[in-house]
Amino acid sequence: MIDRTLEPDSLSPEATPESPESPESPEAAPAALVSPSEGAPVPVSDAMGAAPSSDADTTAGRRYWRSILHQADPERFEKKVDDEFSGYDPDGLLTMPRRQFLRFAAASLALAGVTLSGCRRWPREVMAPYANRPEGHIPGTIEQYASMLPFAGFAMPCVVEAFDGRPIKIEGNARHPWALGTTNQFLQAATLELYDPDRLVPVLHQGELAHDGASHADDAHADAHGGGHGGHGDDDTPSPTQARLAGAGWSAPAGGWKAFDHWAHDHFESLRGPASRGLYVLAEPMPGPTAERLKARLKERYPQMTWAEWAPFNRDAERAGLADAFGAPMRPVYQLAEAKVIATFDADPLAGQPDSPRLAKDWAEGRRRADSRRVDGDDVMSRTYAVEPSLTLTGAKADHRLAKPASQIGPLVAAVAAGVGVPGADFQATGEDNDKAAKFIQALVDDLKKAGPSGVVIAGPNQPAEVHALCGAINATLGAVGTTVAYLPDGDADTPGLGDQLQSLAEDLNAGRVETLVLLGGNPAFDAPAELDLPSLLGKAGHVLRMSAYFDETARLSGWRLPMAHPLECWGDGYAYDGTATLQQPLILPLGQGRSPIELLAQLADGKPADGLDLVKQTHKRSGLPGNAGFEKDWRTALHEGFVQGSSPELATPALRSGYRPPSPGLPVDTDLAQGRFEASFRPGPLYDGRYANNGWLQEVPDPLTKVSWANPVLLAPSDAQAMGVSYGDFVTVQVGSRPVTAPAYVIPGQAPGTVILRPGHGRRAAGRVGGDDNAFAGGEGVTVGVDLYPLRTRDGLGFVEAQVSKAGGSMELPLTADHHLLDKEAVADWAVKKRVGKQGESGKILKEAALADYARDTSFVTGGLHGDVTLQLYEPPLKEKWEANAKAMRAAGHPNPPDAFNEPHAWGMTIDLTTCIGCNACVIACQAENNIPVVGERGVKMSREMHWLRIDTYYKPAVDKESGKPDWDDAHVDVAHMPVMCVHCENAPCEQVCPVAATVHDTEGLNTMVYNRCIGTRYCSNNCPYKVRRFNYFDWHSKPVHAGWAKPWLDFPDTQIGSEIGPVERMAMNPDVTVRMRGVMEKCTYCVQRISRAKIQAKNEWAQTQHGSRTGEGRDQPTVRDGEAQTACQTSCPTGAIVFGNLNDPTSKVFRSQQDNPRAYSLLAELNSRPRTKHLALIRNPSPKLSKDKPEAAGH
Amino acid sequence: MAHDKTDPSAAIFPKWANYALPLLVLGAIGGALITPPIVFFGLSATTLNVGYRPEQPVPYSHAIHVGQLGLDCLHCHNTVDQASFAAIPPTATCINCHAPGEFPEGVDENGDGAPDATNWMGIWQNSPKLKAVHESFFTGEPIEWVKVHDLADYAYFNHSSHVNRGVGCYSCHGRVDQMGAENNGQSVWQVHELSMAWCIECHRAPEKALRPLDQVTNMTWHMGSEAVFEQLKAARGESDWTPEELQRLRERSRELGIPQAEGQSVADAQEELGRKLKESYLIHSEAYMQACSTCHR
Repeated sequence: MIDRTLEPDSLSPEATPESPESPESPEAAPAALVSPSEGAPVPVSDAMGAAPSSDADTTAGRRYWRSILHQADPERFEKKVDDEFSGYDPDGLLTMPRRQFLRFAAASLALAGVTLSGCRRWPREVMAPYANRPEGHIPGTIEQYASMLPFAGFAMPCVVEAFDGRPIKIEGNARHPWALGTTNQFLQAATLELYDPDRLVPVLHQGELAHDGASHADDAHADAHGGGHGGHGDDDTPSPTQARLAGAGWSAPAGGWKAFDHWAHDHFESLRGPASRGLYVLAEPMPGPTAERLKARLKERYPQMTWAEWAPFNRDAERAGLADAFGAPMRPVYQLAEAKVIATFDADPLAGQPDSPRLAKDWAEGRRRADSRRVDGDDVMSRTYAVEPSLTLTGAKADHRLAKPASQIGPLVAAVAAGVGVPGADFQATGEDNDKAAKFIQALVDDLKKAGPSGVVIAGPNQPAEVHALCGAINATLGAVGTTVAYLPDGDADTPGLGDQLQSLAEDLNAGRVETLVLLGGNPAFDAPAELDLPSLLGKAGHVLRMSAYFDETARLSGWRLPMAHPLECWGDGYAYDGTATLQQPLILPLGQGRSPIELLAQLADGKPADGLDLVKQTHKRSGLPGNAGFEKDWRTALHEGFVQGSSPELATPALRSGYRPPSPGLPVDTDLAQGRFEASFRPGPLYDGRYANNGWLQEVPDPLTKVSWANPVLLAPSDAQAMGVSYGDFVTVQVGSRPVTAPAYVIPGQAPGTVILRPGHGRRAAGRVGGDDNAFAGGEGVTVGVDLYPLRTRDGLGFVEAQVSKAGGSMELPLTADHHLLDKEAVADWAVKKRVGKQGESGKILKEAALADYARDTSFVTGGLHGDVTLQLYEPPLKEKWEANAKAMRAAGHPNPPDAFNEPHAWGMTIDLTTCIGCNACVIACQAENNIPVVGERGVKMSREMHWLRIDTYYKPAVDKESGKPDWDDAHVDVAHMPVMCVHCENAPCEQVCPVAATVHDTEGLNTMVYNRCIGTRYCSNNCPYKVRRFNYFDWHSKPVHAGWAKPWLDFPDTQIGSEIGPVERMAMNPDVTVRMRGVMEKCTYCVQRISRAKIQAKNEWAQTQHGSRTGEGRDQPTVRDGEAQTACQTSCPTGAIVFGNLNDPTSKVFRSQQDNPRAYSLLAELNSRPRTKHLALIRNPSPKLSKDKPEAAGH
Repeated sequence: MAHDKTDPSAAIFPKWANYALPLLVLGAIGGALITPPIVFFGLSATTLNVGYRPEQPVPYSHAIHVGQLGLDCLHCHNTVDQASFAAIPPTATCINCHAPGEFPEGVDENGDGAPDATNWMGIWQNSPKLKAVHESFFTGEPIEWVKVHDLADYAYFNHSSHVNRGVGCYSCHGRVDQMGAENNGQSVWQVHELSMAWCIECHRAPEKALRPLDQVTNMTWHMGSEAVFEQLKAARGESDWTPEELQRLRERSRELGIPQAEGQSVADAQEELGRKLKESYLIHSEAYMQACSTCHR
């Protein structure tokens, strides 16, 4: 940290160029939300900077803020910049009592003694080689296998990386015709789920079991004691709850599955023929060739049985709507790469949907065309419109956004339909602010008409069938069907929607018609519509069999609980979104007793256990595989690729059904703030539907829009919150029908007034030690994470519903990361500029952006803010001569602009494109999986101790009220920018200059390396890092239970875990190529040095073997790494390809070209002359010329 | 104090306590002198690690297999040039030569009360020393070898990158070909300290260890130079070497172009060749070789 006493004036508001234009009156703006502040609004950046061609935004004073809180109380944020280590009081030592001081001193000495024990021979270790090593397997290397993971009813193709038989990382499958190498954050987090000890609950049975007298009461008893120390998986006993289970009449049959096999054989035999009327299956949708084959066989064996499916977030409306428009149920397959105009209606195609990764990839193609710098023609950048009740990631990236309650979106879609000429549509937008919406719709209609076949409209799953039908009709009318969207037939027209299926099952349950109920996957007792009251109905079934990954809410209400194997543990198959048959192969034997769902289906059909591999092979043997090398060989080919080549059905281009009449949109929900009447919309949250609740990575990753982790607050519009007197974390009561739920509130910019957004999935009562468990474990109370919002969801209100919202009183501190790790522009960057350039100097912007039209004219907005000589070196690098010689040689070899330092023999660099970054968090989780980054828990996050090496900063830029000059957070037109920031690997690294023990130093290739073993934990480096990308290990987080209290039992040391170890199962998730950091050391992004090393060693070995003549296969003429051989984890996981990494010494590398040839490339805080190796590419938006001029007026509504 | 100050009984300390202070000072000085050497030498990697020779589950003798029979290191440790880890051979590799003569106890199909014979070809088929190997072969359970050369977990040593750059096995592991099995199966021992200082020594001056790629597994190459040979001859006496061996060594060193200038020392000869090899292998600069990221991740 720069010593502020040196320059006391530099920080006073008078000296700040961006001092407030007018004094603030607290009651005039939503600033009053939190605590009205007289302080100056200190902007993070302003958009256009000094660019001469920038539009009116600059003069209107639009600024970016981290959140509404930031704008309301900038002083608090500035204090946060100072108070980097929350809760750390350096003066505490002076006030410490003498005895306490002596105690600490003695304990420190004792610990020093403990560390002296390092000076001994290592403990004895054994090596266990294979008895018979599989051919081609090289121990100690990473191997990759193509497989898939199910998500939202579809197969998500992936490549699984395994180290010595342990799957440790998920990558995309680049060869898969649909996925094209894309993944999402849920896939990236799958390895943590695989090694979750809470998953490993054995086969359980409730009540008396005829065949099995001997229950595992002893085991359960042992666990009751074992659970006492509450380590997160530090004991072998898998279940945290077995003691309680024994008390509740649960037992683990001695034979495990054998006991069930025996029982099931007899039981299902008795269900043959007419008796099968009483057999019901309720499954989560998991279509796949094998599952469907077995389903048919099951129906054959039990002709009267009922198969029902349920998923809380489903595509019922879409199916029904498109059936209306096209005559048969359809699934839209969007092709956004070529789209010029994209309009979304309450939809979030870029995130959270099973097709999102691919759509995001294609969408990014269209956005990358910004670099053609043309405002017209074939290679023009695409333009995105979004109409939605509250921000989605797609809405955040949209060029134009209209905030409307979900129930009012239908009429707008109808207006668009009328505008583009859907026959029979003649609806006009009406409403209170008719003018604004009409202008928006008009601009959209004009653009869509102009784009014709390259336009596309997308309706979201919350919208009713009519809206989907209208969107289908619009796409058909535009001629887009076949270019930007194609359709896949989606099942039988007679198959009812999932909601109907569940409802009729509930009726049968209630009528006592259900003899045997098989609950396969999902978690219906938790997420079914509340008024069905499924939990109590389950008691009315004769026998309830439950197969689930966890011992969850539904499993606790069943008679048999059967463990489901993780998809990485068992054979299976599924359909990718485009219908491609995708194969799932296990990489490890089940860690617990898990069996796969298809094995259970086959067992139910045949009465005896089946082998998953046989089942899958039989399916594909019957349906045939492409190729003519014989089935076994073709099978191996398919397995190798991970999918069956050419198995995707032909995409249909249906015409609008003759006689289709656009439906009249339904009546909107009548919202009334005074009476507390709101429209509540449901969206999947960070845990999707709640299934990932026990996954610490997904719990802890801050939501990209709210920046909240470990919670699911209710989202309110700023004006509503102000009117209700509700602020961040204040409790509100939301009531739908007669069921109230009290939850903390969050105020989000750009939400339509009168709406409230509910994201269920939290508040689990039986998720596990991480995600919440209402029963006591670890010798303490139960744990709840977030609030269960499913009680508010009804059969008719799955999308949106009328709700009563009122302030409940009381509040909680949300684990909010918006004010963590703040970029130190105000304190450091401005200071640096003033030191160097003088008081008139202006620092560059953190976030640089421009409209496409401005970018096409002039690129100076990227460099405009910079003054002074920024190439000035602080000190002479030690190997300057050597590197200069390298650069000279590179120049001679035709390299246009080689790096002049740290270039031996590679010079690593990275580019992050802010235009295509959608903030989806896939990179954050990928980084966490790759680099053994721990989870710190809710309490840790509140203390700003989250360990993510890669963070995504989210900035909001509200419209500004013209008269008062104040930000108007309520307006739909809030610009959102996501900015991934990790260590930028400065060539002049400020951290290195302050480390007293040289624990962070450069290597010759430009990596700012972190030597954990040298680090003594002064945290000076983090203090001096202007980018705030360094993370300190306050504890051995990995071995610490996530929700454990931080008791101080021993000498008042705030830690009880000396000598504790990471659990044996969790330990398997660790990447062996990355050091697991102990507490007391600093860590940060390494550019995935382990991947770089792997690529370098391979390149050099191949080269040496080629030289020596011992190389079999392709030779290698250079010992250096080729472009694309070293890829970081964030890079490979990014669905949009926004992150590019590589060797700057290579003039043909993608990263060099993007830094050199792209005028958008800029260095973050360049004025510090830290010379980052990571560059960001400026954000380009493509606003419509018809609407962009309206912005200032629109702001003053 | 209730006592009178003049009362001799008021003295708390006995008279001899007057000598305590000088004794204490002496002790402190002595302690200050003796502690650093104890810590420095007693706890050094050399003292603690060199010579570590744990008992192995199988009394395997490298001296017989490598030294006498001349098996190449790569015959068993066959992934050493492809992976960071020089894989311990699977049991199947042992069985290639040492196929068991009998099926395990309990397999008695001919009903003679003794385990059945396998009729497989194998050396030392029924040796009790191979019992663990044969057990592993039949059960599929691994033989649990005890790790001898154990680096810290944060040091990422990679065998393949060294072996492909002409660093011989000998450089780190010493004369494995002379390590027999003794005392209940103690076999391989640690020759070098394998500490960071020791690694860095070579990373600073790799020319001291580099050799031609085809000599990497040669256990005696370091004696191949004529100069080395002469010195060894002088030191150990001619009788240690058979005339054939001497001839072979001489020819080999000529073939390899090892400098054989008159009176050149061992180190100088190695360094001269090492520098040439360093250039041809494109070994990186000293700075690169010592960069933290070279070994730590």
